[in-house]
Amino acid sequence: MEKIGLKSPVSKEVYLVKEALKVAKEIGYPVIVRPAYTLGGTGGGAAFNQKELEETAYRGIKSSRIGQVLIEQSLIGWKEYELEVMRDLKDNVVVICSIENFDPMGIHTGDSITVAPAQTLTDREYQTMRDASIKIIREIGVETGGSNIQFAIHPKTGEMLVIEMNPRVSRSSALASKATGFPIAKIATKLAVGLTLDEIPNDITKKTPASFEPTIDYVVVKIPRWAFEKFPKADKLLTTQMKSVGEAMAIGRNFEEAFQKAIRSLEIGRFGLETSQKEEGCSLKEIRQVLKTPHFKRIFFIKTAFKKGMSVKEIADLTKIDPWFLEKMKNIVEMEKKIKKYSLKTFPKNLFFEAKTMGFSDKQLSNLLKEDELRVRKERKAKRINPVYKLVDTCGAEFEAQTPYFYSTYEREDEVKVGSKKKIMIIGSGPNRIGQGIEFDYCCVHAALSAKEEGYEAIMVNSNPETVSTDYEIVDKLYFEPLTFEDILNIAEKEKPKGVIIQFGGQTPINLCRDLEKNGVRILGIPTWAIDIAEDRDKFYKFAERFKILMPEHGIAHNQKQALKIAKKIGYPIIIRPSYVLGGAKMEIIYQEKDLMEKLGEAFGLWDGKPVLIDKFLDNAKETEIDAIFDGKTLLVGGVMEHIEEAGVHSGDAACVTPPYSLKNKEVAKMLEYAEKIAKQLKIIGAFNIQFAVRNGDVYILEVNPRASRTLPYLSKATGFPLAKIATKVILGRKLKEMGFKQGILKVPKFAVKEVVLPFDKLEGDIILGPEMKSTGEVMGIDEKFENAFYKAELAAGNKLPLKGNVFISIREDIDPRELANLFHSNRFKLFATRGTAGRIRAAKIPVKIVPKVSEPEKPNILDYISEKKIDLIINLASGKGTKTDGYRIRRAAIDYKIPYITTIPPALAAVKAISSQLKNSNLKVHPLRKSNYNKNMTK
Amino acid sequence: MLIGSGPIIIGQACEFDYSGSQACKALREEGFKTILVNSNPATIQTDPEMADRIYIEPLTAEILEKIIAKEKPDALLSTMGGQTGLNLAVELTEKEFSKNIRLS
Repeated sequence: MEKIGLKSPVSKEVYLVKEALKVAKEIGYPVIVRPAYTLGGTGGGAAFNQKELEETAYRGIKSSRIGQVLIEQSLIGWKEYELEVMRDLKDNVVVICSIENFDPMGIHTGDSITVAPAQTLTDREYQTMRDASIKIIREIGVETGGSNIQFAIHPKTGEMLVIEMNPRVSRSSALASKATGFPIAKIATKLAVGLTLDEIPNDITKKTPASFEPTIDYVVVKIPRWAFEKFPKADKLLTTQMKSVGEAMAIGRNFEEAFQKAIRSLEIGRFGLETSQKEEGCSLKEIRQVLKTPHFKRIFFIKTAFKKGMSVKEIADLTKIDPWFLEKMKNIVEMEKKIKKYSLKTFPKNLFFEAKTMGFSDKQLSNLLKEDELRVRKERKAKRINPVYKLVDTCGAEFEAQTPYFYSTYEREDEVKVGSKKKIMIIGSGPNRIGQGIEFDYCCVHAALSAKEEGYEAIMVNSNPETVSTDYEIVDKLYFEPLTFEDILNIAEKEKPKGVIIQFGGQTPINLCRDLEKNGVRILGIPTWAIDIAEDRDKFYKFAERFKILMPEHGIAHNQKQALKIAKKIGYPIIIRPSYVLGGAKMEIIYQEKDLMEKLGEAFGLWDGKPVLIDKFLDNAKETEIDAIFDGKTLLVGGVMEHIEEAGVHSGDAACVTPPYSLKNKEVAKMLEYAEKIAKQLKIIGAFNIQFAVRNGDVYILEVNPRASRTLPYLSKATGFPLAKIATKVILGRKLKEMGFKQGILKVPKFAVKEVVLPFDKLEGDIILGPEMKSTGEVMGIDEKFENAFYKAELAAGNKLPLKGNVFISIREDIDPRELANLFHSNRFKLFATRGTAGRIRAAKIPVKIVPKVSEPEKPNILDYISEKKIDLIINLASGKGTKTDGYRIRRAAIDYKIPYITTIPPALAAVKAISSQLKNSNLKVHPLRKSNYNKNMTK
Repeated sequence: MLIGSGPIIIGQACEFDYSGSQACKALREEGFKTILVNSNPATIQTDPEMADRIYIEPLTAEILEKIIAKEKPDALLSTMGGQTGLNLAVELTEKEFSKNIRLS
């Protein structure tokens, strides 16, 4: 950077904590620690003093592939910008998009609200930045392709520093592609094989070449979505370590509109810049504190600050957010004040319109006017205030655009043309979150492709810029819009589709479908009354009873006394959860009355007085699930998946295998019998998922998901059949038989093991698996042998199982460690165990070395062993909760030192068997996936 | 040959399915045979229609070496699989066996 006359923060690479401290002394605190070769800033952070630096540098060095960290001058409070730049072999360089971070430096850009194009730069500043990025891409030597370059600008002096450059496509380039309509990855690929920017036509205009820089006549806002509700112990402050799990993007004609649309796109129960009672109840002192430390809910506290009379200047001083953004937020607050003076009846048309242009949703207005949302909608339409749709055309309407990519706004001219072809609308899955991620994007893409194959115009609605489903080349028409009742109904009323497919976007479209149907939208596939039965456990209990479907014993309690009585009747352990909460949220396994008392006090207080559902927890049961497609006659089962973990671990966090490796034919037959019964009685058309528990030969139903589940893509890859596509065809009226499928289970050519990936290296807290889902992603291992497929899946998940060395075992008293110990011993592992576990292992005459617990006085204890890398595999079963227990500290150490760890028995047994198989033959084979063939004999 | 970004983790999500899928399509348009490797089955890029050869295998240098030995790609497009893809490409090109492969 120096060579081309650009400045970057003073920094130095170090390999040791000692060196880090020396550098920090030279630069002065605070300093930023950036580990080399990591993503999302893993292990990095700011350090304000020597003690903090010791910790952060240590963690950073550990997480870097080459054990190196950068100690850097802190730019906390500077403004942050990104430019997406492309260069070709002829040395043409174009800037695709400028992105401004709403949040100042010090917050990872993945955790920042970002805005495109940049809003608060002077033209001179922007041109300087542009020139700099062109120089940088040339100097670094990115011969062809795209790069992301990040800058910091001092808010007062305007001094510009170059922060970072990524010579690859990135999260930001995906955002820039969706924000501008310029497909960076596609163009970068073409540049890589030798084409030049002037030779590649722009997809959207067809007339201009890719060397034309995009122009945009709207504002784009991206807001991250966090999952702290799943990780209560994680630090909720935003730092240079990224913590969000997803993001939503929205497009509007002004910042206020795009900002409010983006908030409602997050699907967090806020339909614009709305604050909760808790936030409003904060004192000014508390608010000042929150504004000073970047909390993930800061925008809501900023609003509260405005409402309480704080000035833009004071908020800017506290948050270091540019006053321009704060002024815009203040506009929203002022507008809200105006609206509140009226009732729906007296609400003037011009103000109504003005509110809509500022992105106020009907729901938000209904809250302010104290009216029902539908009434607001009706009144709005009566006043002829309707959204119009604008094109994303890359050229600010200078040329005619060919690609139908739209966003809504409130203006006069409508740019959408509604064709006469029959249309199918697909509702996407919105921002990624725990439990609703890429799997549903995969399914939605297939639904769209399938609808196109069936001769329909496929219309996609989604709000997540990271996805393939929002690639305008995939669908016939793309609406980049929030997934709310209002926004979707608006599009449906405009496009008048033949029907809406809601099965593939996870829970989001399922939650909306009833209201859409009530307002005249045709929902395809499963009837909404059946969705109610499947989702409302009370109704489902009755349904199961009526059709003789076996479920674990259960009851519904409206107060503590009832709960205790039910628990006593069915016997511990039990699972409790609030009624009508989906996806395992707030579920808990309770082992004794004492814990139930404690939990209930909390439950009836926290769960809004809703009844509590109590189920018998089938401990030591096997858990299985199936994904199936039903067309009214034929039941096609995509696969039976057997979980590796025992029942009680959320299905989204459990590893699983198909075909099942230990189920009996009789048990599988029972599952199919239940599936057919349920599909017939609920009149399911399309895909659904059922989860079972199997114990002592009995098959129990745990839950039914009336939609495509998370495992559908995995099964599609395991079997070679595109199940989401097939399900869509069934929804659109085709029969399975005519597609060549018979009733039964699809054949799986090899064992396919799915393993999950958990975010514990980035978020603090315990790593025990339970009924609440925590994983962010998944991998698959395929092999002819189950053991090898399991080994591959673990390897792919970053849990490389050792083939020799030392294994540490620490297991709860009620579980027998001997089988496990024996298997490791016979595979020549040296065993280490805590005193109690060791005693039980020795009883079986297996040699084991005792290692002191953390809480025991002797040294070296287990943490010393781990930090000195003397342990190669950790098997630790929880014996207690809380961060002070030995188990907790051992498990955290496993994460921090990247040592493979296992926290339940069945996966530990699978692991040792996989290791044993590797020891016999370590040559893992690789095979390409076979292609599906619709015409062969596909079911067994 | 393209290397995907593996499982969804904080900091590396489905944006790399989007980029990898686009890259596969663009390469096919230009007449190339494509080989795609990713460990994440929930991706569009691992669909049979997306590339000529799809491998759902662990993203480690050893496994990728085996695939390279089998498929003998002429070039490796390293910029579409996030930091995972880029790091692996760097690791692979440092090895002797890959000296005839062009990195892009």
